[in-house]
Amino acid sequence: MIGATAFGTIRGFGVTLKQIFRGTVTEQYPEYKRPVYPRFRGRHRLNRHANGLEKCVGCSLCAAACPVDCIRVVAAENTAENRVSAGERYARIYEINLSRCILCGYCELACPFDAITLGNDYEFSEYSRSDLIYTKDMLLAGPIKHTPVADPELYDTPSPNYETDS
Amino acid sequence: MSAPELITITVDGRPVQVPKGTGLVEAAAAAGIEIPVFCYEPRIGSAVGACRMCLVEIEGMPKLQTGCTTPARDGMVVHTARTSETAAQGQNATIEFLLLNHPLDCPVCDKGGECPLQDLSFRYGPGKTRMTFRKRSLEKPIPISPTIALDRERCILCYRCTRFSQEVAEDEELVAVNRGALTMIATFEDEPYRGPFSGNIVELCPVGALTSTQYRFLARPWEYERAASVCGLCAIGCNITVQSREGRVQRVLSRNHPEVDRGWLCDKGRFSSPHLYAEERIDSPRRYRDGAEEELGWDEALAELESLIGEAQGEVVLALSGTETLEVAYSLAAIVRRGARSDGVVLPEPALDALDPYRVPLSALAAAEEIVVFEESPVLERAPVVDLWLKLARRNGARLTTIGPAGEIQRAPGDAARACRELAGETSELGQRLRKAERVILIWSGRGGAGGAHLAVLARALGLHEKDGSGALYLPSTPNPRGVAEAWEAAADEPSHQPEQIGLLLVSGDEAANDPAIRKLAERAHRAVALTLFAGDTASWADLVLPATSYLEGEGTMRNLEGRLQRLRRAAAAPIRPELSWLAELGERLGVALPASVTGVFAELSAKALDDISFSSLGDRAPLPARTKPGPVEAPEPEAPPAVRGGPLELIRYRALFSGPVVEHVPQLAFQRPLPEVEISAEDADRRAIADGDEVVVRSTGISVRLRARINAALRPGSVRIAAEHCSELAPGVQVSRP
Amino acid sequence: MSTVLPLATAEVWWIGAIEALVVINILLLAFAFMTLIERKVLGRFQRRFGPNRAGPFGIIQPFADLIKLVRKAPFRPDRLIHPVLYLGAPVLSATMAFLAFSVIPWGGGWELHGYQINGQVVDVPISLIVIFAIGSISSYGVLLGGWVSESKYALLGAMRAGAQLVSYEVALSLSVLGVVLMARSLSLTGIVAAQHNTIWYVAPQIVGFACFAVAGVAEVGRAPFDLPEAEQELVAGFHTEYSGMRWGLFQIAEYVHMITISALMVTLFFGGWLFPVLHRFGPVWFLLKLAIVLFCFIWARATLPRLRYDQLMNLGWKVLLPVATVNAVATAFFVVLR
Repeated sequence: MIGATAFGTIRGFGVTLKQIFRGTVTEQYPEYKRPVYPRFRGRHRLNRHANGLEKCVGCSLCAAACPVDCIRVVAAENTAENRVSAGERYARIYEINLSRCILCGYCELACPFDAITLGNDYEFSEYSRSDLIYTKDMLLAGPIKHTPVADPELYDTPSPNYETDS
Repeated sequence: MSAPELITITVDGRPVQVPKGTGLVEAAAAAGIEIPVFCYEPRIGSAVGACRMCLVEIEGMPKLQTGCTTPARDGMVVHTARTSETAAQGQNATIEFLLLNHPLDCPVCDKGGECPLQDLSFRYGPGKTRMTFRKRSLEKPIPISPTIALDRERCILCYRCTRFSQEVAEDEELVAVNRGALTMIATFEDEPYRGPFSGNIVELCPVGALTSTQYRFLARPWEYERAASVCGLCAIGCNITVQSREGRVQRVLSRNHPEVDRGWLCDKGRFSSPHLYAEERIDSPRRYRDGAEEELGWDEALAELESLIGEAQGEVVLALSGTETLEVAYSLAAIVRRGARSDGVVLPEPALDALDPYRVPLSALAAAEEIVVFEESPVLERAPVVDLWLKLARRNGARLTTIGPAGEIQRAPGDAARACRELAGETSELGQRLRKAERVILIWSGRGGAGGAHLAVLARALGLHEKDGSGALYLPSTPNPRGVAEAWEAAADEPSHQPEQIGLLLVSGDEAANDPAIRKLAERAHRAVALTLFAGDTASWADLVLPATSYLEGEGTMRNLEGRLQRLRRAAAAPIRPELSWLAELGERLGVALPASVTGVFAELSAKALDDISFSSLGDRAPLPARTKPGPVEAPEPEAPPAVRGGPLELIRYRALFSGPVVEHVPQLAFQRPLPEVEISAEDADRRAIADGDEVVVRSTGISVRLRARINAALRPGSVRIAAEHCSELAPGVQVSRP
Repeated sequence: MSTVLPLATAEVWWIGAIEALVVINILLLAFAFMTLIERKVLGRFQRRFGPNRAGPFGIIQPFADLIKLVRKAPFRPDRLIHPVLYLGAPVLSATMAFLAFSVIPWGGGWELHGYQINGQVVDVPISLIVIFAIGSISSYGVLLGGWVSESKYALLGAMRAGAQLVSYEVALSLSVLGVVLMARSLSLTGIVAAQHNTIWYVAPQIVGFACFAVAGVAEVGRAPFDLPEAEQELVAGFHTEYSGMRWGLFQIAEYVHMITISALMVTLFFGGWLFPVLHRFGPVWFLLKLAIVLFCFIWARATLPRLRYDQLMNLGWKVLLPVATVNAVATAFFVVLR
């Protein structure tokens, strides 16, 4: 029995030694950024219609759906001089606290106007917590860093037309 | 009253006993089963069965019946949607029909989250729509008043709003026009809905058709913090829920105390919350010396106040507004009585306990047989919800007699006390009727009531103490005069000296600060200190101005006109230091031991004056204290009203509901402010060839005011009535003529 | 062969001092890069790179770790009764570890410009016993550190570690008895000399070598016997209450101890600095053999799971001790018969 244990142990040593010659599987980030899937849930983006009006009407359904309560929406009325969105109201204040957000995508599911979607950007580290509270203009803007995305033809179903045509 | 007869009905297999005549909706609720409703609201009067949501199947009737209009009968077997396929289909179809033309507005509609249509659609409605046509589209939203917006596309025509306007507020301004599929809710000639109760339709509307513009798009219902408080703007103390978001008060809703307000609120209480954020609000103490304004820190301000009190050497007078809570009034009184050792006070009104033996809740008005109102100031302007109770009483068959310049029994202004005595006498016919009736309620609304003493004499004579359901109510013009007087009494154990002259006048509250009588005292005083919410023109007469907190920002108690002690809760933190904390610090400097917390002050006050009830026992819906034993009433002998000098017509000033420092700082309520009008009787107008709506000049010694004439058929000839803020300095006798 | 293997002769004192300095510094450098090499080799066993960000191939990593340790907040327990002992325990451990290396022969000795340079820092006739004695004192440092921390976790961890160290010391000492009997010398230089021109002692003393290997790993506290420092056990064992460089000193003690035990293994069983050719390059052969043994230490860490405490004690007292004793007796038998 001791022999079996000893022999097994020596075989174990052989296993580990063999691994050295198999090479590493490490992907060296940030030199190599692995492409994410097209539906990868990264940082949020607020979308606009084709004519430039914001899609968001400030209805707060995203804030209600959010499991961590990290979205703050304060709505205001669209006036003739200041028409921001395509409805009666728009989001005057729209803030997402990205340090709390768990990137679950419930807000994207809840939004009736496809105004908030989760993009592919995951590189948004900051040095202070207050910098991680993204305001509306920051969310409306595009991502600062480019994230490689895997080929949608191979990795995704086609987008329905209500998502692509506004 | 005999106990109501109980009958047994079966709802979804559950037997339940209910009083005879109960509607099926309540009967099912008694059995723990929900019957969904849209148009049914028992407070608005009888059910109409307009929405067809409460359809139930009753054994023995072939078609589905509306539960709201069907009274329960002994042995009835009812099946709701839970057990009846037909009823479920019926309700499903009702929701489907309602949603056919209902716009897809939920994301942008303010009602979302608290919308019965949403909730009932989830519970009883179809999951998908079969509507493939264009929905009807109407212009939206239409502001039917500066405070309420109407969205006709969302309206499901339940008629709750029009029934409220007709049957509760009885102002008949909101009506349904056109008919059939083109029915719309509107006001006549698209005039704004100008009435003191218009805000209630916002709470009544089950969809987002009627929404408050003040609150438009501010927040969603799940984003609030709630505080169960009490309105502090008039003496009724309607129970409210104040909702705030991120520390700012957003709106006020009714909390429905069935004995006090029945779920209604007047527009002043409902829409006044923006006064907290008016620009004129002062946020730090200021000192005015030699014409210069200086902002002080609290330490300096308290030191200044202490030195002012020291300088006055016992000649300190405290002027209270009647808007303070008991605790703040007690602390102020303790400072003056124990700290400054002075008994000088100007109470807003005399408020005696003479009417305590005849205490009755406001809901007793609904069941009264005879109601007598001594009305010199209109009840609607003083205590609006009492006016709603009176209207309800009249609809329930009570006989309402008003005695006063514009009443059924016309008396000169100031003569109400004598009228009281006459009623108490043997010869009055009305008095005899009152003695015979079972449920009699007397109401006094006006000046010269001696704190209810005259009414108490009458009540005693009529023997109202023995009769259950009978009582007397005195309507004061300030929210908490009784409480403030009690606090003053309890503040010190021994009397100090009465000041002969005014070394220091301490004015508490904006009402007192704007009162011309107090202003005159301030001019006579050597020094004056004001404790107000708004800057106003305190700079012209005060030496030191301290910021006050509003009723929405304070914890405390107030005693309403029934005698009920109700608790206020803080809805939002004030941006300034609460009074009790710096009054305690001031007390420390003057050697007066005062607790700095509400519970502490209340405990002290309660031990002395309130039979030691605890703060926590006040609860959310305060009970009415029990009646005391009637004793001898000290009432001054009523005299004939003095002769009027200055003009042939006697001027009756009344404080309009939408006046006062709080309402002045709410821009949305500006349209409800009293119009510059003079009410004149038909006879007087005829004699002067004045028609309704003409511009006239009202003159008294040295002063003339231009107003619009309004003929009031009920007004007694020889009197005119003008809202106090348009009267300026007119003398009691005026003449009215065309310009 | 006395020219090849001069025994300890008169070496000028300051050359000895320089030797000591050089040895200590090399040991420190070895410790520093041992941490890096261990992490990188362990990584390769696990099909990943080790640290490769700090400098090319992670060479700066040890210095980064050093800076981190030095900059850490040096807290001390609130209820400390003996602050001197608290600070002294890691110092003791580390010092003893360096001290033990002083008697290990890493070269044959040279003559340079008339000066004699020895192949070891100091040579005593009983250098083997010296090593074991010093090793015992360093295990005292562990116990002291745990006890003076005034913390239950630390005390328990120290007790367990101390028990482990003491148990395996016995087995360690017994397992080298065979070598001592064959070399007829307790001095390490004598043992190396005895392996000259004969087969290294690993062959005839295979059992002893096995026992020494196991007991040696346990003495150092390395996997699979690393209970004292396992993070999941008792927070951090005896060095729970040590932060920053104080903990660093305990680490130095552990690694240098490991290097010492490896050096001892090389000396006792693999001929020390001996090699069939090129005796002048004794230190190079020594380092080569040392490197291979250290690699085996890391290999064992990558392969074997940790032993439970009762398994550990079992192994030490019920297996290694009898085996080492039997080995010693058998060796004695054969030596006498020879």
